[in-house]
Amino acid sequence: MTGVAENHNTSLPPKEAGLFKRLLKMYEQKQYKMALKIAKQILSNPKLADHGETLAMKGLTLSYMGRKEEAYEDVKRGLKSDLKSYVCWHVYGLIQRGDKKYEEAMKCYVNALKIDKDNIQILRDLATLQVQLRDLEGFRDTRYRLAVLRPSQRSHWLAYAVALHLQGELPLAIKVMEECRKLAHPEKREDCDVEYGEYILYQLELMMEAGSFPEAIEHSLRYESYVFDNVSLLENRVKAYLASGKKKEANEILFTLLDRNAENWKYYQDLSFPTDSAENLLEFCKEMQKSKPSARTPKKIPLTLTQGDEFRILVRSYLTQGLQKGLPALFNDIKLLYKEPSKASIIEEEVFKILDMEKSRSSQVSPQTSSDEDLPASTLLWTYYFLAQHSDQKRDYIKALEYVDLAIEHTPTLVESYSFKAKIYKHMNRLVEAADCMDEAQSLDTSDRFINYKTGKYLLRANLVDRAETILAKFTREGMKASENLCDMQCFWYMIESARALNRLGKVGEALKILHVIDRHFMDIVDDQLDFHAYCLRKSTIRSYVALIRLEDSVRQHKFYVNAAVLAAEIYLQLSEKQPTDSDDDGINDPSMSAADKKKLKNKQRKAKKKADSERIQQEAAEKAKAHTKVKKDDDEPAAAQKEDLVPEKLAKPEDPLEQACHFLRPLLVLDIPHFDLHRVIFDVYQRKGKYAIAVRSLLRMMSLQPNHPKVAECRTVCLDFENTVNGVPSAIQEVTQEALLAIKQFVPV
Amino acid sequence: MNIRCAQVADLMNMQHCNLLCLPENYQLKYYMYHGLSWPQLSYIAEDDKKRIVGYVLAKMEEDDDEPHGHITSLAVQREYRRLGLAQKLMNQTARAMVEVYNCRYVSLHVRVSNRAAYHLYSVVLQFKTTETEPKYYADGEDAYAMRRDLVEWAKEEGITPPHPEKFNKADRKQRRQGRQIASS
Ligand SMILES: CC(C)(COP(=O)(O)OP(=O)(O)OC[C@H]1O[C@@H](n2cnc3c(N)ncnc32)[C@H](O)[C@@H]1OP(=O)(O)O)[C@@H](O)C(=O)NCCC(=O)NCCS
Repeated sequence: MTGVAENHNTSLPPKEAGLFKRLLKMYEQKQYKMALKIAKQILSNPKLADHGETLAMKGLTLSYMGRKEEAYEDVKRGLKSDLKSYVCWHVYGLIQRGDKKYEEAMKCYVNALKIDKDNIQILRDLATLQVQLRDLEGFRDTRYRLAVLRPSQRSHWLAYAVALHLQGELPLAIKVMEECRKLAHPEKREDCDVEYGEYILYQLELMMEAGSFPEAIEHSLRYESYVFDNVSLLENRVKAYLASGKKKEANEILFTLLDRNAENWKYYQDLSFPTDSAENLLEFCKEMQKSKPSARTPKKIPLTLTQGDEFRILVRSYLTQGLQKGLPALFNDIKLLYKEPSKASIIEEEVFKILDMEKSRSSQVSPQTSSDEDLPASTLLWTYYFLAQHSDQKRDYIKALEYVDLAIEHTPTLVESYSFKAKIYKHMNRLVEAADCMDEAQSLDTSDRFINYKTGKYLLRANLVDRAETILAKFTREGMKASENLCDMQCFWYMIESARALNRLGKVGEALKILHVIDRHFMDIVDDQLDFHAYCLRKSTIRSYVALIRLEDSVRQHKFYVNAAVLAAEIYLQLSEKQPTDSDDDGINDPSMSAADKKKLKNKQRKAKKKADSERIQQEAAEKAKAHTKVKKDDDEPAAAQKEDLVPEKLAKPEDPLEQACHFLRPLLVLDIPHFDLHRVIFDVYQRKGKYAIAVRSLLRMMSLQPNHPKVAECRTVCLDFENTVNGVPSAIQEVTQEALLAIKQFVPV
Repeated sequence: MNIRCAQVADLMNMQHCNLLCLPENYQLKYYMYHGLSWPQLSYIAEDDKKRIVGYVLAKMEEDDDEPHGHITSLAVQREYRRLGLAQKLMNQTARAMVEVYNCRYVSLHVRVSNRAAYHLYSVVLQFKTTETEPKYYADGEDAYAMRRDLVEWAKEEGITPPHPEKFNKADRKQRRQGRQIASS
């Protein structure tokens, strides 16, 4: 809840002025019933029935009591009767902000500030919305005003530094941070807290971003003892040393970091040695193995550095240890080595040796000794299991099945064997068998959610939606459908898999419903920032805050959203084809027509369509402009903040399927995402919409991502036809397109 | 497997990992709350393709009379278990708790039926059970409330807290408490 800026010149008689003060107090204390009562009492005075600020406060109180409609009514009435009151404007802004109408709220704050330009509370509220809506210039200016108005409060300077940072004004941001740091500097080291350390680290990160490495090094050394977050401090210092070519100094820090965390690959990668030979790192790893015996990374890195016999010796002991311990994760742990075929063969040879040894051993040992705990009787089992994974990696699925069956025969109760067998089936595209097998694995350990999730996923892949629902319900809240609960919990893997399954089953509306829920979750995630603007300033966790702001700008590039958008666009494309159009009866299917005639007709139709399209675009643009001005006027209308219900039947019959597809794709157009299928659907959707520049840009991306993909050739053909038809399109787009078209024409697949 | 401190950009993938492994799930905003309040405390394990396969989500319990660390959630994907990831994640977090927040102990809850986790906590990480909380979980299962004393551990590991005096002074009181717990 935001406080309301107190007015100092209420035009109320003494008695009511007193009441009004109490009203504000009750409101601040969230005593809404009391506040409402007082408001009514003031308004009951016939001379004050239209008192603007009281009406505003009454409305605001009502809005917190959930009585939205009355709230708007009062607030607007209040504003109408007292347009000169900043309280009325502020309150109108506050209740609109509550309804997520940020743009409108911001305008109200601006109006309020025209009346009372130095009002701290309103300036703060304005700043929050400015950064939320990424009016970064406005944010900077507002933050500056606040800092100047309250120069002794360092949180204002901190916020101003952040605003400068986001605006890219790094040198000034660093200077402001320095002042801010001075204000926060404790007298004694003992009085130092986490917060001050964060100031220092933030300043350090600003220096790093500005590329002022010597300054950064100096800063990080000078204030070292005030920083408690040693990992951040040291990691930044390594970066700064490396950027200034001080390899020896960087190494020293990296040794410290590795001593804390021997499992961080980056630390090893950043080490520098006198010569480039791999020997150096190898030696270092050997030392690390001695000083950190439980660390896996120093044992694993040598496997990537060595070759031939040297590799063989190392991998043998790595494999033996893993198999004897019975490490289910052993294969995943070393999978990266399979990139080198020679290593894959050595691994195979070594595991076969172990297999032979284990086989002969198991035939020799009597049942008595095998029950001895010291003897790893299950090495054989894990060797079979490993070989199944190894064969699967080589795509020798028959062999893989053989080994996994041997593992099952050896120990019929091991979950891993069944779940891996399911995976082999999946790779063989035998999806129902895969699902059944995973289900069996799940039945052996019903308390583990991970195996439950896998079963759910495999069932969905096999289009067994109902069975998936039943299985997944074991780990979702009781008294609620699993699918509903999973959608509520932002369980994106489930939503995407189930939307895909439903689409394959022809339940397009249901699939679309889920995809829209995903879209709404992402809107919520963007919205979630709002509370953190003030929170992080209070907590002084500025580095994470800036990371959040930057992340949110591109949050939709996460594969969860991209996958949802691609599927939604594909479905809407299908729906747009299905829609009855004039072209259903365009004579193109007339068997009596010659191929040449058909082509001519097609061309003619296309031209006509392009013309119509471009006219439509212009019309749309004009309408949009109109709609925009309308929004401004409609400000006076009460809000309908409720989200529209998603009804599958309705969703399956969209009025404008292409526009719906664009709704999903639009946020992705500004992000450069290396995802072939995304650009494929962008091409298909936007070329149909007549937005050639966008389509062409996507084709260019497709060409760079997968030059040999058949779809590239197909799109090129479509694209080269644009040339004849771009005439109806505004010339700016034409230019971009012409240049790009040339690239497409001259493109040679590799 | 790579172990590093979690960044804001990891939070959504941590949430994903949590949804695969545990029935206690949270909206992304709750992860943001952790990452933006105590950015030093949560850690992730990622595979060679940089997919998050394990995480520990941690916070400070600041309102209690004695501020202390708390493990909100810990999980490792089944295909990556028994590699020591959970143990190492937990130790990185504990270290950060001491170094950044002068934290003297860390607490958590675990299902009484969760054998793997209980073994990890009680034997490997030396957590002590402080009490059993009946019906702690939504499905009615009881929880063990557990605590790990970080003062002794920090000494052994040579970890320096920011305010050693405070950290060690409370040492005696804490140990007395610990004895009481052990004997009760
Ligand atoms: C509990 C869990 C996090 C352990 O992760 P992990 O990375 O496999 O654990 P580690 O490899 O670090 O285990 C370290 C030690 O803990 C003990 N341990 C781990 N898993 C165990 C198991 N299943 N049974 C017995 N002891 C086990 C062992 O002593 C192990 O050392 P060892 O492998 O040398 O014998 C993991 O099983 C998991 O994610 N489970 C599902 C989610 C969950 O229960 N989370 C905890 C909620 S409070």
